Amino acid sequence: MKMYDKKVPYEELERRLNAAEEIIEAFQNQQVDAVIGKNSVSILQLHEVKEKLQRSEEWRVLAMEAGGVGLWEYHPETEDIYGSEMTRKLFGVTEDAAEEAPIQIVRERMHPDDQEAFLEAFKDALYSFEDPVFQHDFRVLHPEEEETWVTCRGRTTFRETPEGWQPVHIRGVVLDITPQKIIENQLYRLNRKLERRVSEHTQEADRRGVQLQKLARELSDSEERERRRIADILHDDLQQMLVVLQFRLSKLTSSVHLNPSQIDFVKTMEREIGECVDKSRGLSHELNPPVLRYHGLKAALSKLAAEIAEAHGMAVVFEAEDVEDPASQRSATVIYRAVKELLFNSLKHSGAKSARIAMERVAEQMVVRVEDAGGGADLSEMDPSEGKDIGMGLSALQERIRLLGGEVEIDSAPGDGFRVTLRLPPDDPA
Amino acid sequence: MSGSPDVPDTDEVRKLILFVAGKGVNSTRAMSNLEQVCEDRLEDCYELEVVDVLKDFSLALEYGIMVTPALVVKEPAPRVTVLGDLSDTDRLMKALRLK
Repeated sequence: MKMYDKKVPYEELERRLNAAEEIIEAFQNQQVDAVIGKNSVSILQLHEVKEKLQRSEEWRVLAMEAGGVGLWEYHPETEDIYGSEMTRKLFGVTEDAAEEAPIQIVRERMHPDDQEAFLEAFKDALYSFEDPVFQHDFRVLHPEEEETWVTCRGRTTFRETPEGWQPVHIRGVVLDITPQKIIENQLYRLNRKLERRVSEHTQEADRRGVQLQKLARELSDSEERERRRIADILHDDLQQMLVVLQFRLSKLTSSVHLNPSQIDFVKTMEREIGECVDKSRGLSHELNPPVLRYHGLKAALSKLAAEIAEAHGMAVVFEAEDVEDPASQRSATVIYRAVKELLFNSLKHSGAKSARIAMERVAEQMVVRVEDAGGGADLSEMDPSEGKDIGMGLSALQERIRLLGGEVEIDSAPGDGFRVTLRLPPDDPA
Repeated sequence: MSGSPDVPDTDEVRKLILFVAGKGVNSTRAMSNLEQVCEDRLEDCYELEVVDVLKDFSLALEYGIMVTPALVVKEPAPRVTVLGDLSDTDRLMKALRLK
């Protein structure tokens, strides 16, 4: 039964009950020779012990009432209920009224919503020889007053009959637990409120997270569109015009007679226009690498590795066996730009002679590692949470990937190279 | 008796208080019953304090003792109280954590 789980205040209740029972037993066995009161000790003669025994019930009641515990007794055969003064008080019943029809009064005072469960627990205890104890909490209605909570506990006494064990009576105690219930209810309500708030906040945070991610994607897409547009202008318009200009100048030198200094001047112009064409081509490639656009990420990264090796003398190994390019151009672009930035960081800061790019797919995630064998760095001195800058490029990169739903792991130590792992969520082709 | 923990026999010193009322019949019986069990089973392993409530009952109030004779087994914890003349040897042994 439930009551065994409830240690407070039932444990205390049990202790008081046991103490009272023990005193009665000592009287019954005529083994008491003095009673200690608050202010005095009375010695008992044998005849007094007997007299006290007759009044043992009174003792028991006194002990219980002093602790705010009401006593009650129910006889199933006659359906009689007896209640001590405290019991009547807890039910808000006057003595006269209680004498009239106690069962009726208990029924009237018990909260209607609690009656069914109470009766079930009560009957269980009344007819179960194996488990004759019950405990149940219920509300008591008081006319023109607020309802109170009581806990009611009882134990059935049985007698053996030819038909088996029959209940003689069920005796028990009843105790006011309103203050506890009020606190319990307040706690419950507070918890519910708290849970609701947390859930609301979580939902809001989730919603904003999704929104933010969407915005980040849109931003990244529009940035990419703009780069492409500028690259296209550079490539399709500016470069074409410059080439035409160059062509016209060369026509000029062959069709018009020029003196040597004029020829030198035109040649310089031609060379300068050539430089403009190169610069514009470089810029347009950088803004929107055609290799990435037409041949995919793997081809672009492998070209990047070769270019860096050639231009800067740092050997870059690119490994991407059996890995397919990401389905979306967005992911490909983000990875390409991040790798490029990381490699240039290595060039600028690490003094490394070699670096490695490894691309693989782990459980739908695109995982790209960029590592160098350079001087490394003390990450504790780069922790932005401690107000130390992680390096503008690196923290912006981290932020960008995170906004797209990915992760960036950085691992380094002084003298131990620099390793960055990028994880991008499964593509949603867009 | 309030609680009868099934603690096995230990060498721990039993600290006992016996509350009596002068030379009352039950008090005298309780005293001799207790002494017998203690001498037989505990030898030197106990400290007994006898308190006569007729002389001072403040300690009895402190321990929540309402009638005499009453034996309080203070240690080993938890505290156990036995009321009456201690003629129920089983109950007394249990309170003293003796098998």
